[in-house]
Amino acid sequence: MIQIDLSLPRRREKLTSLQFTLLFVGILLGALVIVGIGLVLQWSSLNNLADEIEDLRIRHDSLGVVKVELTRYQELCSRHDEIFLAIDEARSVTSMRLDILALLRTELEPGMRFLSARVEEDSVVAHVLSPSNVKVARYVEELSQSSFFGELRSEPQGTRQGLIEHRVSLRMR
Amino acid sequence: MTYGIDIAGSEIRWVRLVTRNTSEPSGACGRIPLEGEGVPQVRLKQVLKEFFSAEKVRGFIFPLYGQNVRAKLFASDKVDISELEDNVAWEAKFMLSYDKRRDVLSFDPFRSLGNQTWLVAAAAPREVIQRQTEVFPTAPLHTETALTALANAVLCSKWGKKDVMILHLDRSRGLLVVVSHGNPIIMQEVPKVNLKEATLDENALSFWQEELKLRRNFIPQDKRDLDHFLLSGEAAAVPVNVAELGERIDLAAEVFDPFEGVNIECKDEVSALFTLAYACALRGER
Repeated sequence: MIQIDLSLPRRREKLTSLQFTLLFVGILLGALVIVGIGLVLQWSSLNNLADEIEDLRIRHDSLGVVKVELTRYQELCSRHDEIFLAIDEARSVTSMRLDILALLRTELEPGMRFLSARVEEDSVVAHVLSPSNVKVARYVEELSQSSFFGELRSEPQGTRQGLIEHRVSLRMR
Repeated sequence: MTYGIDIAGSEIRWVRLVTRNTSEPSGACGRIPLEGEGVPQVRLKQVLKEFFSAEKVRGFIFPLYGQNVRAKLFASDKVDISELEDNVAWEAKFMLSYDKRRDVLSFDPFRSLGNQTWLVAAAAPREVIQRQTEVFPTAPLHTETALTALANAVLCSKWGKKDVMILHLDRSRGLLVVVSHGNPIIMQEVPKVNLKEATLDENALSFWQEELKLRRNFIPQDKRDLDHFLLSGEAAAVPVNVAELGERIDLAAEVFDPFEGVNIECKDEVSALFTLAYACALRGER
């Protein structure tokens, strides 16, 4: 038996209209389903996002309140520090003035009496009574050796209760 | 189970054959009429699709015929198959006008005698194969030519060992095969056949007498003595045709019966109509 074969590779069959329509509808439905699922997922994630945004907004508001409170607290702290600084400064000044007063009293010579003192920022004016000008001179001499005063000056102001009243001016260093 | 499906102008002839696992071939045959000659390709496809669906056709072979479908037997002294292929292509170039850009070539080294190998080569234009194949809903098992199918029908029959000339003549095609000493020495298609009716009138008889004589002259001198003339196809359905033609070419004539010795259930009494379809089905079962 003769066995020849003239076969050719068979061409792919063309799609019929029905097959084409079915394929088209299939692809369309598939695409719609995929898009639908995508939209649902997107909608769900958008919902989550909206919830998160709302949550963040609430947190933002509460943080705003906290921030205002914190600012107020910081202002208060600042004022508190200022007050304490002022208190410290005042205490320091008071302390210095007390020291000066103590010094003015301590250095008095026997027979001398301390009347008053006005302490200014850069000077002190004291009124003392003394039985003699020599004692006042010694008093002024002692004061001048302290670390507080630079320039000293004594002026007699007359007599009082049998003693000589002196006005002692001291300039602070 | 293989179907041989022959689209013969105004009808489709089919033969279903089962030979595997059986001692004798058996099967069935039938005809599907078409609406006249030149049925549109679309309609033909539709008819075949319905047939394939109804019969649950899995494997089939059909005979390829028409413009430039040709087959030839020639001898080669090349026994090495690797050289044979080049040799066949080279010889086919001259003997079959084979052009590898346009045609498809197939060959079968079907018989060897000493150092000589007898080859049957067939060639057909790619475009013709494509056109005739694409009407079927599925691909055939093989693509056979009507010429080699007719030769196979004779070679597998009781006439295979004799020297015979067979003419398969339908209204729109004529195929001539001469078998000599078991070789199909001539396989030719007669072009432009257009019979008005199956009964051959005087003009047609004269035409075929001349045609057969002319083609008999192509046979080498020492092989021109033939035993019989066989007629197949639609012309064989008219008994007077075979007697007249045999007488005119001076050969004992008979109608070729492809189903002889085969158990085929067929309502049609003219088994000669199914020669090509039967040969194709047989090819699938071998």
